[in-house]
Amino acid sequence: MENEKKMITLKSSDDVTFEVEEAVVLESQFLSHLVQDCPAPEHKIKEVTGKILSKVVEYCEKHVVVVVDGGDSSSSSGDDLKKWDDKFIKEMDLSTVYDLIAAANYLNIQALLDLMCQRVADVITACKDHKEIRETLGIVSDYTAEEEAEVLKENEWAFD
Amino acid sequence: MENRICDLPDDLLLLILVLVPTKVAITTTVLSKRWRFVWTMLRQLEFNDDGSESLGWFVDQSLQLHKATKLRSLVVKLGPSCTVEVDVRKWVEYAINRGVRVLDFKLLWTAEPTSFPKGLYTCDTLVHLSLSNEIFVDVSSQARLPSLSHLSLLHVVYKDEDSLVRLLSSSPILNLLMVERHEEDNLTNFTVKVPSLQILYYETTWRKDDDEDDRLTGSLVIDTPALTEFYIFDVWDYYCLIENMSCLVEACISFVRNPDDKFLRHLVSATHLLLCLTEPMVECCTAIKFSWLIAFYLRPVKSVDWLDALMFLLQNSPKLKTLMIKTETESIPPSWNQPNSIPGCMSSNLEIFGWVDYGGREGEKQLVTYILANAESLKKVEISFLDTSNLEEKQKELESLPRSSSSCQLLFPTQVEWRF
Repeated sequence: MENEKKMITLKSSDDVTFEVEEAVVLESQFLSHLVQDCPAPEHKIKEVTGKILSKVVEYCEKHVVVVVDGGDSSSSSGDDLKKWDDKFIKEMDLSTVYDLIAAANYLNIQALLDLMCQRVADVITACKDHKEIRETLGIVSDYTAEEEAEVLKENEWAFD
Repeated sequence: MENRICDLPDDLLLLILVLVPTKVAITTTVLSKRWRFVWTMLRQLEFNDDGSESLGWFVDQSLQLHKATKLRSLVVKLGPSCTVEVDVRKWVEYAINRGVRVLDFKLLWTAEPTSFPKGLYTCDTLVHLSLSNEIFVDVSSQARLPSLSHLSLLHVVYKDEDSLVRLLSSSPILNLLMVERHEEDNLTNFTVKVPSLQILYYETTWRKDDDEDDRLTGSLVIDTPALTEFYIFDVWDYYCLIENMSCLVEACISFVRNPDDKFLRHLVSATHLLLCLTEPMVECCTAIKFSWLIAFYLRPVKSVDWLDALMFLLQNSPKLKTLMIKTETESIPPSWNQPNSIPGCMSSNLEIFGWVDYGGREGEKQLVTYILANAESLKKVEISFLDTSNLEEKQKELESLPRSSSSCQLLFPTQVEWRF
C-alpha cells in the first residue's frame, strides 16, 4: 500500500520544491482542482514563497495524518490537533501569519485561513486601545494630527 | 521589508475583524487611512451590554456609518442601565433591508415592551430569530418566514394567542424552538403545532408569590410529529397535553406539574429519558412500555412514593442499560414491595446504575440490594450519599451486599454525573 501513494511536487515562487502525498494536496481546494485539471508531476505556485509554502505543507501534512489515523476523527485526536495548531501559531511571528492568511486564501484552505485570522483577531482583542493595536501590528498612522482628531471626534462614541 | 497587515485586501481584513468584538473592530477606523472604512463593510455586528448608558447611541451611530449592502447577522443586547431614548425598530428595519439571516435582540432595559416592525415577520432571509425580554410579539396574518429554522422566544410578551399561532405556522421549516415564559406574557393557552419541529425547549419561571389560591390556569399543547428532542421545565399548573411526538429520541422532563393522562405514553419512543416523577404520573407508569429506552434518569419529587412506579418502568423497559436515580432531602421514605418477577432488563442489559444523594433508608436500601443481587450484566454502580456522616460504615454496608455480576465495580464518588 505504502508504495502506491501518489506523490506530487510543489514548487514555490522562489523555486523551492516540496514533494508531498496527493492527500496533502487535497487539503487545498485550489490545488486539488489544479492537480485534477493538469496531471503534471510538478506544479509551480507563483504566488507563494518557499518559506510560506513550507508552513502550508507542514500544516496540511499534520491535518491529513490525524484525520486518517483517527478514522472518524475521535475526540482525542481532535484535542491533539488543537494542541498542535496552538503550538504552530504560537511559534510564528505576525508577519508570517499575514503571509499565511494570503496563502491560505489563495490556495483555498479554509481551516488554515480560520486559524490564522483567529490569531490576529486574538492579538487585536487583547490590546487595550487603538494605540496598542498600532504598536503590536506595526501599523504606522498616516493621518495628520488634525485628521486623526477629526476621526476620533466623528467616532468618539466608540472610544469611551 | 516585512509584510504588513495593511497589505492584505479588504475581504481578508474583514475575516479578521469579524472575529473581534464589534466595538473593538469599530475603533480600528482610527489606526490609519487604510483602516478608515474597513469595519463599515462588516456583515456581522454584535452589540452587547457592557453596563454603559450609551450603548443605544453607540448602536445608532454605528448603523449610520455602516456601509455594507448585506448584513448577515445583527445581535443587540441592551442592559438595564441603557438609555431608552433610541429607536430599536429602526435597527431591525436596517437589518431586514440588508437581508439579515441572524437576528438576536435582548432588551433588558427599563422601557415598556416594544413591538417590532411588521417586516420582521415577513423577512424571507431570516434563518435564526431570537427575541428576549421587553419585546412585544405582535404578528399579523401576513407573516411568512420561509427560511426560519431556529426561533427563541425568551421572556417576551405576546399580543395574543393568535400572534404566537401565526408566528409558528408561518415558519414551514422551523427546526428548533426555545421558549421561556414569565407569568405576565398575556397568554393562557400556549400551542406548539409545528410539523417540522425537531427540538423543543420549554421553560416557565417560578412565580414570585406561589399562592395556592391564585394558581395560573391554562394549557400547553404540543403537536410536533417530527420532534426528536424534548426538554421541558414547567412549574405552572398549566394542563400539559402532547398530541403527537412519535419520533422522540431524547426527553428531559425536568418538571411538569399537571400532565395529561397520556403524557408519558407519548414519550415511549425515547431512548434517553430524564423524568421528574410527579404525582399524576405515578399511576400512568404501570402500563406503558418503553421498548427503546436505553438510559433512564429518575428524579421523583419529594412527595411521591416512587418505588412501585420505578419497578413498573423497569419491567416495561427491556433494553435499559443505564439507570440513574436522584432523590431529594426531606422526600418521603419510599416503600418497597418485592416484585413478582425480575425485570427483563436486569438479566441482560442493565450495565450502569447510579444514585445521587442516596439516603440509605429502608426502601432505598432494599432497592440497591435488589439491583445488585439481580442485575447480572452490571458493570458499574456509582452512589453518592445525601448525609456523609459515618461514610465508611455506609460504604462498607453497601460493599457487603451480594452482587450477581462478578465484574461489577462499586464506586462512591463525591459527585455522580447527572446527564446523558
